Amino acid sequence: MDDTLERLTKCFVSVFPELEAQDVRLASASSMARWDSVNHVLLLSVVAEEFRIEFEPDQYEVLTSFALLAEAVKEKLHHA
Amino acid sequence: MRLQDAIRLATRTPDPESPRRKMRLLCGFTPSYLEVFVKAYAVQRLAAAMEIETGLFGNLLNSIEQASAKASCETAVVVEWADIDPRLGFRHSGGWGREVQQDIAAGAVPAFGRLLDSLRKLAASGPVALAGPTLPLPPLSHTAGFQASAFELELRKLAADFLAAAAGFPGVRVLDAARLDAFSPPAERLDLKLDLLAGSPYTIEHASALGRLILETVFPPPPRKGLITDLDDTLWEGILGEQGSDGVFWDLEHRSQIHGLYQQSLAVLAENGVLVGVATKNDPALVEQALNRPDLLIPRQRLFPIMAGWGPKSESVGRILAAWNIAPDSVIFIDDSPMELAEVQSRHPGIECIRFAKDNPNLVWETLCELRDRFGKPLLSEEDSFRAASLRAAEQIEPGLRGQDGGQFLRQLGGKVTLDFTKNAEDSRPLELINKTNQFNLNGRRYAESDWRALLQSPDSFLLTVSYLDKFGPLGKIAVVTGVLSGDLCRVGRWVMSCRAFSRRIEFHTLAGLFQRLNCSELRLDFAETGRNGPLREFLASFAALPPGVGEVALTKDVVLGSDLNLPHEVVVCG
Repeated sequence: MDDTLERLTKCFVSVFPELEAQDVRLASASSMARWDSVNHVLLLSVVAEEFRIEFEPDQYEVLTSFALLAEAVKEKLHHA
Repeated sequence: MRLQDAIRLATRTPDPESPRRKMRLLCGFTPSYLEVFVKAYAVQRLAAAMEIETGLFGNLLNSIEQASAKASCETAVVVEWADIDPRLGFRHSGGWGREVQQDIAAGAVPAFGRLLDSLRKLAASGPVALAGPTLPLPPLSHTAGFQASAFELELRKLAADFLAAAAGFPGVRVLDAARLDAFSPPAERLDLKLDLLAGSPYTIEHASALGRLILETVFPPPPRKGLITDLDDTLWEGILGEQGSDGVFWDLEHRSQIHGLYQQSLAVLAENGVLVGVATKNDPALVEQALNRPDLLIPRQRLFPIMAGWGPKSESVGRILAAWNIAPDSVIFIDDSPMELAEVQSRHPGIECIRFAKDNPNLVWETLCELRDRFGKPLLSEEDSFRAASLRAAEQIEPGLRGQDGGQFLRQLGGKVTLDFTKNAEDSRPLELINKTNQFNLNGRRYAESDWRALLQSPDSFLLTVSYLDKFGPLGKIAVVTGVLSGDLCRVGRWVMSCRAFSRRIEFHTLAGLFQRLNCSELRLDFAETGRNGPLREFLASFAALPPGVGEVALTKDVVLGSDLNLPHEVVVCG
């Protein structure tokens, strides 16, 4: 696993400590009851803090899975 | 604290042994970050798992009113401008023009009034920490940002009046805005993006600072009890032995004002019930002469005891601790000499030693602010005003007690013990005693304020508050017993007595009073050895065998009242 995905995994586990390591990469808002609006805000804030990036307001609505977040983070780091 | 670290602390599986705490966090916005940080600081500072109940989004007043109707619980209330008028928030488009401003100003008065009424009711059911408004006002004035407008000043005045009125309610503690400013710069508090997206208006840094202060205000650390100060180059500038009592100074004229400010701080602490003693390497007669100077800013009678001599400072400190009968970890020692501080610290590791940096007024200022934090308490009790005087009286009484007929001596004191069985949740003294007493303490267990109120509300519970006075003056409320009555049996959950009341057989009066008033045949005491409750163990062991460590101790009426209790004082029972 590359460093970005490893760091993103840690962000997910800090907000959703009940997630098993092997399940993190499959996590999505639609498959997890605890991924509600409050934890969504917390997750994106933790990811922003970890990678020192900022998400655009419209991204908050669409970044609803590990895969989508990973893609968005890599994109932002690439253009940083 | 980073958000990620806070979440990790807040969500970690609690240790089964760690205490559980519960509180309410009431605000009109989504307290996502704030809730996480309060929980994280609870784990960090209290080692407690915190369960937080939040209120309704966008309706602070309703949340407070609903909370008032529920069971007693520690509560934090955060008021923001949007709670006074939604047009002062950022999720509402009601206009900011001049006419609207007039309307907002007119509506703010009753809005603050309604909040005040609801807070009064809420505070009756448990302690309330009140904060706000912490966010900026919208840019609605005609003035440039560096110039305050009359409208903004008027709103801030209304907010200040509201907080001042609320601070006057028993049970309400207002967060200090200046302290919040120090941790969280006002210009860096608002996260407008997140507010518009999710109704969560705080930046991570602001939520962290506010969360920390909320926790400290709701669950304040136990205050220290005593301060021991050096004299030369600390209480005053100069060396008494070299310059004489007229050659030491604490004023602006002699460039020694910082010592005057220190004296003033000690005087305020002493006035508020903190014990202030002196440990100095000096000639005792010369010390008396200097301390009796009329321009001294802390009255001589506020200093007790004064240990002057040529031995190690640690010995003087040891004698002061013995006279106060308190543990080293409740005490702060202040001296200008690093060597003296190290010597005292080596002999009394529990004492916090602080250097008086006489050549750096800015560092002394920091020390004075630290002292306020270490000794500060939410409320003063009557006992705070005569604590030092009663210790001084004890010094006179002790030789008589140690004499051949201590019992006869006690009877000559004209002592009066008042056993008050009133369950008054508004009296903060019984809880204060339970939460700070160590030596005569049944089990060392403390109460959160909400649990305390819940106990008093229970119809089966009882509370006995014991007061004492004699010809040397009052000791005030010095002992507390609580428990639950179950038919013929009385289960005692807490029993504490201030160390100032030792050696007067007040505990024997208390025991007799419990049996007589509660009309039970047996007391079962929830005993635990704490390592510091030797005086309590010694007392109980005179009636029954104690279990090793933790367990119940049963005392029967026949055994207790049948023994020679030797009760020397007049007793008044009330409540």
